[in-house]
Amino acid sequence: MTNVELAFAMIVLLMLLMAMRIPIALSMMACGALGYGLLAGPDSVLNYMGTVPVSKFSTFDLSVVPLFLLMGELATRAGITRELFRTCNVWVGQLKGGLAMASISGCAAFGAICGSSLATASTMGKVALPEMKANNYQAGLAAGALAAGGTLGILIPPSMVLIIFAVLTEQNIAKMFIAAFVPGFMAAFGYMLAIAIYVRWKPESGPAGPKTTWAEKFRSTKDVWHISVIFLIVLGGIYAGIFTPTEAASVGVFLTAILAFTHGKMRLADFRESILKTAVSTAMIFFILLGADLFSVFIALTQLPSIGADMILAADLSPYLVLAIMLVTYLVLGCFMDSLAMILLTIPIYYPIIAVMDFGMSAEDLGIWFGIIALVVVEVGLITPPVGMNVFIIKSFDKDLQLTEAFKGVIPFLMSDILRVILMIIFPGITLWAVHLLN
Amino acid sequence: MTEVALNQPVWLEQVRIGIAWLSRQFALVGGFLMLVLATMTVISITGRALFGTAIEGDYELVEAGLGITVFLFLPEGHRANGHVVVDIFTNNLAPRWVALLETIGEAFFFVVSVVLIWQLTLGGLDAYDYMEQSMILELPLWIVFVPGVLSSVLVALTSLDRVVTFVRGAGK
Repeated sequence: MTNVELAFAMIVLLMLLMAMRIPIALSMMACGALGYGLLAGPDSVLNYMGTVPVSKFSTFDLSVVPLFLLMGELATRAGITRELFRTCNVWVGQLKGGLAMASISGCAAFGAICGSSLATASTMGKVALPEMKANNYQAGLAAGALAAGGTLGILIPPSMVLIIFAVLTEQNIAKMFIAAFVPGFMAAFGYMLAIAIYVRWKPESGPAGPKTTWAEKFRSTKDVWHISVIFLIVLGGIYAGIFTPTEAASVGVFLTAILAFTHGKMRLADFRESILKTAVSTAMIFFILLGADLFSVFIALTQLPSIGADMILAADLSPYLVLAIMLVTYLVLGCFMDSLAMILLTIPIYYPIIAVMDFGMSAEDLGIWFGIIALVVVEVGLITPPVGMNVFIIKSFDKDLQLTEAFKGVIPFLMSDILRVILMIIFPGITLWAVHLLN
Repeated sequence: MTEVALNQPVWLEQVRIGIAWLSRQFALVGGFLMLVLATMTVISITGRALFGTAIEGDYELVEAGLGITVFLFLPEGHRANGHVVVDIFTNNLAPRWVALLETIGEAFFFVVSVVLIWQLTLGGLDAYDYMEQSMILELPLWIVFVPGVLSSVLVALTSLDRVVTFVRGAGK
């Protein structure tokens, strides 16, 4: 068996193990260990197990992961979502579909201090879903807006998936965060536009709320001063280059903890609960990280990525066609896999291939641009059937909600996503201008 | 899997509760360590901004400390079944088959954690013997291996318990 055949055999075995309910982390570890052992001998695998977990887990760039997770966990207990939603509603509530738009903008603002999609969908869902129900919103529109809004948690930095991508491809996390900012807000705007178009087509689905004056609008912004302050210090500090992402996350933990204890009236028992939840999600990420690392060490050893890149170059395929094929595989994998696992599994194979293609930009720009596009596409899996985690979260708040109706409600937002990805591919400047500006 | 856990001696149940308790304490200690490091970083940044002096080697402390934290978090993550699993292909299987597949996963986990205990112990001893340390503060590197080994022990015990419980249940 040649190395490339071995790589393919292990990829097939990996898919089989994962389909058999073996945790993704373990499946990758098992296939990676087997392949690596066959190529380099069992001693190499044992050596790996005795050194790499320690060096991987104590990497400065990865230290940011548990910190941002805890920050997000504390943010959900800070009791700020209700005010956030109310303020957004004062601004956009008078429009048709205003409550749904307020949900989107509330999610965007919350996403600016929380790096998790599920946490954003669930905290905002708890507040906004009852409001929309009480105002006779079409259930599908309400669920779709919240599920799509949840993805803003991860599209708008801080973002767990982006951090992992940056570590895998040795990109600068701060630059990735800067690059993600514009596409993230474009996503929020696109979702609101999707709502505006949808309610024009079906006016009964989202009735307009009462009119508000400009004075009321400006007065309402003072209710969200705390989240603004945290955002300005934490993300502003990263963007301005005052501190590293890890330092920013430390500051963020500190500030959100103060907010949760004072404003959110968090008790010590809740705090303990936040830490345990952080522990579970951190463990989940690092288990996968370790498995994926072993698997990618094996894949790199088989030289599959460089052989694949040579073949694609020799075949003279259009780089955009290759990119499109990769993005389509994300949509397929997204039907049953978690976004982080997808990135960890595919980037070691895809990134070396993308890196040798000529998209007419520098290597660093290419890495950032590809990372942001991949991020947007893997997040689509969170709102599409059959797994669509965000949709299931929203459904858990409303027992009457039909799953088919919820997934139908997602369609306008999905169209907005697809349109945005196409724009980002055609105009790399959308992603890169802010990075160039701040350099 | 609790429905098959019948007729077991009391001590085994106590050991089980003890393992779960330890896993949680590990996670809480890890969380506490993380908070201490975050606070230290905030102090260091403030010092740097206002007085021009940061805490020396703060990067190294954060690196090593959060490495320890991550290890301390693993047993609780495993205990709480916080693993990402692809479940849509097996959701329609009978519960018995699902339990079997999950037990195969646990058996894998047991093997992996035993290898980790073994190899991390060797790795840690190496780091101790060769006095591997960080650049500025000269922190000894072996201290990160210790929680690695201890956490792997807890993961191994939890997996072993789940496998044994399943096999005993299947034998009846």
